[in-house]
Amino acid sequence: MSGEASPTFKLVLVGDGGTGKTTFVKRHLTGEFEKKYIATLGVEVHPLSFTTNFGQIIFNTWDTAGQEKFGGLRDGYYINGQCGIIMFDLTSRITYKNVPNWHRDLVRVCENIPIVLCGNKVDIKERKVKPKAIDFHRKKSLQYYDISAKSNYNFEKPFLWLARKLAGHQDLEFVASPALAPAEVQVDATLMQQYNEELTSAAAMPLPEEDDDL
Amino acid sequence: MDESVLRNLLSALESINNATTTNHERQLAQEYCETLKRDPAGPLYGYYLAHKDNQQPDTVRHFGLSLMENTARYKWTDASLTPELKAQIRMNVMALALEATTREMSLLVLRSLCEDVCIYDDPVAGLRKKDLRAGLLIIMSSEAILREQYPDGVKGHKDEVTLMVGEQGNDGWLSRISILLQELLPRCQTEAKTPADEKIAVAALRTLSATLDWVISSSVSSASVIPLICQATLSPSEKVRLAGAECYDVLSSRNLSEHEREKMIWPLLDEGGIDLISKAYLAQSNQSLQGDSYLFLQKMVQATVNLGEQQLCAKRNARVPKELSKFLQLLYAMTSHPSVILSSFVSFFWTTLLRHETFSKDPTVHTFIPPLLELYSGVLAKDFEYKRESDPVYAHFVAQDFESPSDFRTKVGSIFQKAVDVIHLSVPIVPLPAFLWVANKVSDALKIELPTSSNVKNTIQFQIFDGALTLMEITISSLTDIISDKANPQSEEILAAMNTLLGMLIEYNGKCPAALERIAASLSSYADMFKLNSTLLFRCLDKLFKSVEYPMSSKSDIDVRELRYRSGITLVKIGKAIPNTLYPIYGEIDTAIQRLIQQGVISGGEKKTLLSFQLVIGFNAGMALERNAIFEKVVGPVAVGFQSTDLQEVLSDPAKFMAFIGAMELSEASSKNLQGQEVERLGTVVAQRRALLSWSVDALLTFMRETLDTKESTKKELWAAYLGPMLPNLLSTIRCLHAICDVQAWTGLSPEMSRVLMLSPEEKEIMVTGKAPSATTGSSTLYATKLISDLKTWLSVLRDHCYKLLAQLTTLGAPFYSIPALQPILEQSLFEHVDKLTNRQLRLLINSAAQPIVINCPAEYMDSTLSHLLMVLFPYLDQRLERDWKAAAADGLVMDEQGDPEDLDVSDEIVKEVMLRDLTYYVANFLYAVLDFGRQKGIGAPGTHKELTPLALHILSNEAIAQSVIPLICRIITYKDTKSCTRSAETALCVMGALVQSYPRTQTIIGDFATMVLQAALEALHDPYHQEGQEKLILLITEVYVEVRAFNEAPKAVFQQALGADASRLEAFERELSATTNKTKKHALVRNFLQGIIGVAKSEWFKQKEQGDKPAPVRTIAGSYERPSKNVMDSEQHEDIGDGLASLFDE
Repeated sequence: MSGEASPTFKLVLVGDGGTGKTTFVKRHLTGEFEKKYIATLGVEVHPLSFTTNFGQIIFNTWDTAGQEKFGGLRDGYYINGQCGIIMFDLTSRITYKNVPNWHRDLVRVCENIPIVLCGNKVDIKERKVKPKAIDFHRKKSLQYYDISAKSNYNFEKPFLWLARKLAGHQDLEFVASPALAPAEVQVDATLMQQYNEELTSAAAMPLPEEDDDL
Repeated sequence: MDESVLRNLLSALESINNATTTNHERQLAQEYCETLKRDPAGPLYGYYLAHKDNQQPDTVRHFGLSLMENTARYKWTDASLTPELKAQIRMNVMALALEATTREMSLLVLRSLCEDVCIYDDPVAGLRKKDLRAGLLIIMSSEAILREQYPDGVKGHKDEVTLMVGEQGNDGWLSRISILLQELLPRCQTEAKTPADEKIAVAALRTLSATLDWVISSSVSSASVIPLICQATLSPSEKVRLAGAECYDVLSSRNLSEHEREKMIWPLLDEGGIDLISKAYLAQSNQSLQGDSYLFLQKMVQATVNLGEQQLCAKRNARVPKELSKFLQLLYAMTSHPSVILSSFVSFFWTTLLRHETFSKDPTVHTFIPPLLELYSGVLAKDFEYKRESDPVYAHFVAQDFESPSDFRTKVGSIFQKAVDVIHLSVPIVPLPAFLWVANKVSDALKIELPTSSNVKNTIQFQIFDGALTLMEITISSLTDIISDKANPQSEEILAAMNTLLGMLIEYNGKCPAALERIAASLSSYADMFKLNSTLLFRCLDKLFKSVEYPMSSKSDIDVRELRYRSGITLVKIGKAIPNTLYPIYGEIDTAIQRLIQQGVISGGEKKTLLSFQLVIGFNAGMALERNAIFEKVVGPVAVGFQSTDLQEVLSDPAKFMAFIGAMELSEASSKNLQGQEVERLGTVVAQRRALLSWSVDALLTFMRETLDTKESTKKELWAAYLGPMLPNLLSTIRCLHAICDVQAWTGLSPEMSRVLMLSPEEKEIMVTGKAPSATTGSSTLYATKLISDLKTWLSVLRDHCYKLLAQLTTLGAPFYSIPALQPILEQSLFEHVDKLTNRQLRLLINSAAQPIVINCPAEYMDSTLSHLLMVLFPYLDQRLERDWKAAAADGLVMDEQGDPEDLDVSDEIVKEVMLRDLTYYVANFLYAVLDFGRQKGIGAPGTHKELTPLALHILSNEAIAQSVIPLICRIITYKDTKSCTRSAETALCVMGALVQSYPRTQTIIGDFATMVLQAALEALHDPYHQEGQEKLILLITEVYVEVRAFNEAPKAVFQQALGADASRLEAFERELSATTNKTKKHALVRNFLQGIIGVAKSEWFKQKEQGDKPAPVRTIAGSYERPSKNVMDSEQHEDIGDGLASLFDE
């Protein structure tokens, strides 16, 4: 252990209510998976620590309320954010439709921060937001990942991408897996492979010209 | 300011923003900050924290601003705010605003104000709407305009006076914006423009668009805003063009008085505005556009159509603008655009124009009739798929406009309907030339050589042929009044031309059965002409009779089968339309039909149709005695056959029924793996046997449908006499059909027979995607499985027909409901085996049989027939749905209600879920139908006055029934099916209205009802699944709270328990609510309080108010996607590009 403090970054986690933001961060912390949906009030902060080949890195993850309350500091929580995750629910189109709103609000406060777009609940059998429909990240130069909080699928990917961007080292790797709660479901590997292929092929398609919308 | 409070506040903010604070401490700190928002001194602390001189970090300054915003938004009318404090807050806000004000920011602030107050559905602004609106009106207009508009300086009645006086020398913001645009728009057209010019021009236009719907009309004309808007639509900058088009649309859609139109609209239409608008449209329309460029074109079309519909065609407008022809040319150009979305949108305008009192008679409009007919007749061929495949520009727009093939199909279906409307309205304006033109088109179509392929109906040649005949049918139906009017100088000539054309159709001797079928169907359009001129009637009937017996090359000759079927149906249509004309030749018709029956050259279905033809002539001709005789002759033998003792025996026991339908024979055939002729022989034997039952049911159902749309009781009595013979076997059939849905009934038979109870892959696909799978060519060898599949289809059709026949019988009213012991008989027949039915079958039972039985019951029989039935049925449905939804939730729901069903995979899970959702929705609809009390006939316009129907009254006044139906309604609200949830919310609203209306009689039930409904609605509202249905849920909650709270504490108790409500807020809210008498304000208060509990989903932000005060609905183009809600802060950048508020807009 060196006496130096680990680099710490403020990560702002946003997205519609019910998309699984709290569940996602709690996988890392306590392994507690909330089956019953309880809306987050205001904000909670969770320090998520990862061990990389360059040393320890900590993301202080600000898990904000998705269902906007009049209480709380609203976009005041975004101030001094250094990176962000926008989450939507792959089984609910409207949550994807709201992604531009969340993105707009976030970048208005935190200009030029690295942001990852995450489609959660990929474990659910019938996804409604198809890989080919997900192109917002390409218009805004974000990174995209399918994830599943329930199965830990791709849990570390958003953090790894953000860590590389923040550290400025594309060769940064996580050298130890974070302590995660055991997976509650197994994702279908073949299906994930298919989704990945569809995402790759969608990425090769030309983008529509409009700049703000899905 | 209290220093200790300030210290605590800063410490709390430090705790919130410090990542190392525990979440519990953070929660406490957040709660502390919330309490300060309720403190009257909160905005003063806010000002201190926000002011840059106090050097607080950004997070703290941000919270400072939040404190001020909170007070301005939510507490401005609180008694706790003294006038001095308010003045202080105002000063503070101005001081802070000056720190950062730029031109663009000022425009954004103004736009934000206008949108919050006048455009968005903001319950907070709604609470002070009157004051805020008056304030905005004042600042937008100049002092001179205000003085002219309000000479006394006041607005409103003596009790509610609003001062309408502007500041001395004030030019008003509209004028300032106009001056700004006069400076910027020309600059934006030159090389000298800077990015800032474009940005401010866009901001100015957007701000303008937020005001044009409500500013004083004289201000618009005096500020010369309209030429600037036209100029903006021609700008080389795409963003400026789009913002200009938005202004044009708002202006076009505004609800104006004639006087206001004089100032705002006629200058646009009279003084060269249309030239500019046309130029702007045409400059962009010839390209394969996408993105914002296409959005601009959409906006231009939308605005122009709204200008035409809302302004030009305003109800009382009789003024014809000078440039009408240019305006119509522009709209015609828009109609010709290759985008389906754009061209179809314009058809709304043409139908409005052609119906308009003034313009339908205008000679300029008449010059557009021929090109319109030419254009819209092209739509009738329904050759959209062909165009998509052959025309790349058309395909480009289809790809942009539609998310899925089903969206595209739905849209083109509606375009077809609009084309029909336009043609229907155009033809009577120029009747003779129009008909001659149509006759030529048909004559050309009859010469088309049709391909001999089996799929001829999908070929482009057939589509053109079909389109021409459709055009003829529409044209003839539009001319009915003209040809009947002897005084019309053209009527004789048109009649002669019609006879000539009919002669050509009768003479048509093509060999294509599909074309012959289409011609046969078109002959019914001449029915009205036969009343005036029956020269060709006999030849027409002769052609149809020959088509009914058109020779079939084989049993599977589908095209000929359809020709024969269609010809029979056409005869029935003609029989219904002109019974008195046909009655004199009834004898010949009877002879012809008997010959066909005796010679055995027609099928059972064709026989049924021809008998219907006889029946409708006899039943509808004006001679009662003959009517009875014909009725007896046609219906009697069928009804007697249905009650035969043989059938009674078969239907007395499900096991005998199984034998009758051939279950054992088919089981044996499949076990022995019979094939070919043996199977064919068996198939013929069982089909003939089954037809004894199914033909009678089908024929009786058809006869009833053709004759029971009458209100004449003497005609109904004819049927009542046959109730006795028909009902027992009908109910026994239903009972047997239900009993054999039990798997146990099929034990002992070959495993293949289980297919009868299972859905086939084709059925599953239709159920999930709504689309029939394309036919696959199977093996030519006939196997027993084919007979098993036929049996399954036969059972489904028989079940459907039985339900519908029963529903028809209920329309007889008292004769049906007075049958002794009807209630136990119905319960036993319909519901004894209900557990064995799948959700799909139960859905049909509810929709096709149970609902008509309940709805058609006369009030005097409700007690004897319905009470027990409903007391059993509602709890059963409740339990069954609850059980299945629990199971579905445990398995994981997999469907998306909003998605395109064609995207779904047809898995067993999806099929199961579809069935459950369908059942839930049908039950929700059933409840709505029986409890919707606003639709009772004789009551005024919807929503004006509500009266309970006897049925709703019976259900709600019977405590046992009411207590069984309310939990069912509430539980449906909570199921994850938004369609059903919102339907049930509508039902709950109806019930609530009824309970309130009948208070205090409903005293015992109203509290429980309110509790259950509010809990259910809050649960659904909290469920992210129901985001799309939130509006309806919020309406339900507010209505229930406002209406029921006056009598009962229950709503308050529910809110008390709701997550996030705090007691002091609730008490304050309750006090304010009870002090308010205005219902709109009460609603706003509840909505406002509710939002404090449940929050506002992102998608609800900046939602526009529903239009309520427009004379005609303002139309909006629904593209392939909706743009995300935008608000004033959407402007891409807020750079410091101006000189501050003080120098802003200085001339």
